[in-house]
Amino acid sequence: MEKSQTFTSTFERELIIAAQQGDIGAFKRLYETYKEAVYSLIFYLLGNATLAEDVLQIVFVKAHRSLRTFRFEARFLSWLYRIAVNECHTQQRRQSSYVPLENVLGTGEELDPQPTPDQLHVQGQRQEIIQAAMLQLSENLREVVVLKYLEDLSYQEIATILQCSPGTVASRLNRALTQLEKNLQPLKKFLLEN
Amino acid sequence: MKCWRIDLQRKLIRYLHKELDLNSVSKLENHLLDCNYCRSHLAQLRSSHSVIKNLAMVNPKKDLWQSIESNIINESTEQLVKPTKSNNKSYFPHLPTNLKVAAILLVMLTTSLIATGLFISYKKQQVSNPSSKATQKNFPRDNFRLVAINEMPSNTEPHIVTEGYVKELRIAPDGDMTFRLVEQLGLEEPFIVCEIIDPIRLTPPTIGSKVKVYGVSRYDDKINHKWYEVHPVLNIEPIKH
Repeated sequence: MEKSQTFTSTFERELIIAAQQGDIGAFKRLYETYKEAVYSLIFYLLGNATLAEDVLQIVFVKAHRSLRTFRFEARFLSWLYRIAVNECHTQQRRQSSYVPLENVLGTGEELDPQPTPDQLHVQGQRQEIIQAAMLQLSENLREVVVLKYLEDLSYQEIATILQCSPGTVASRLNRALTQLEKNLQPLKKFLLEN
Repeated sequence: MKCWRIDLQRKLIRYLHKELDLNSVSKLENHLLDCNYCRSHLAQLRSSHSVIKNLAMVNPKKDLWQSIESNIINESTEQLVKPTKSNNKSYFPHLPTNLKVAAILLVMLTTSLIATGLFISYKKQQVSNPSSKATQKNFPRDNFRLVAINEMPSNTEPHIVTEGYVKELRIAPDGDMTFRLVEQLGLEEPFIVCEIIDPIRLTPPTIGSKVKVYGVSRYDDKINHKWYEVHPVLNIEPIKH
């Protein structure tokens, strides 16, 4: 799992302070650093790439609007994730919660838009199956899995983002992995055949 | 055989993610030596863990910074125009009250004279400049035909009003602002492009918001365009959910 590239904490602190004082260039650098991580979270929560792009824009505009409220009490990415999760909840209330699997099981373009050799095509299909298994989870289980496995956040960090207890995070992860064991049966079959 | 040590079973997930203290790890590992049920459950968790840790980061297909920056600039412009709140203070505490009252009355009289003069010149301005912000309250909504975004190809009326969600706000080098209006967030089509030719006079909409857009319908047949437009936009109204 690749973690998003982060600056040293001092450098990032300086960037954030500059952005809080109105330096749009500094905010752009923060955007460039974290857009992949935030977009990935939104994508897995909503299951729709086009909607995820819209929500990504909303999240960063809201982040800029409330940047002065960030007081360095947590990681900046955790603060961004919290805004993203709240915005995803808003979008989920507006949209149907059912995500058709065909929205995810496509041509693999979202994973790699360029033409791929056979090996990468197989890898792309593997990712599609993992994503499809993920999207079969309920939203609250998906949230904890994405936050844990995309950025390897601790239970406490996840609890802070989702505003629940670490015990709840543990319980949801347990249920999620148990359910994924069943959802990932197609992948096991695929791996045997390939 | 089922295990009744629910307290230890609950710790298996934390054990997997290395979220247990050393003492708890030691207790759990001792239990696992003797409990086939918990070993089996841990193996199940490990199986999905080993697959799902390959969950890949996903990148957006296009660069969204320009749109984000446009929105930020618009919001900053709006904030500059908003009046600031001031704290209640007691001014001139040492002046006698009757003097203060007389001064206030004098100020009120002067203000009302100035306001009357301004009102007259404002009315004159309204006649010569119908598209100013102050006239939006009296905007002639009845003169615009309601057309859905997907009905634009069959529309023949010049003055239309349409509804949709805002995406891709951009500022052109000449200062004009354009945004796309879609029927639903998450869908690229159908869409129309809306162009505000004087952003100072109209409050730009926020990305993701649902709005009504009044203006003149047209078709842009330039190469790489070929889309329906509301150009110019004459009025924008937010729609509350």
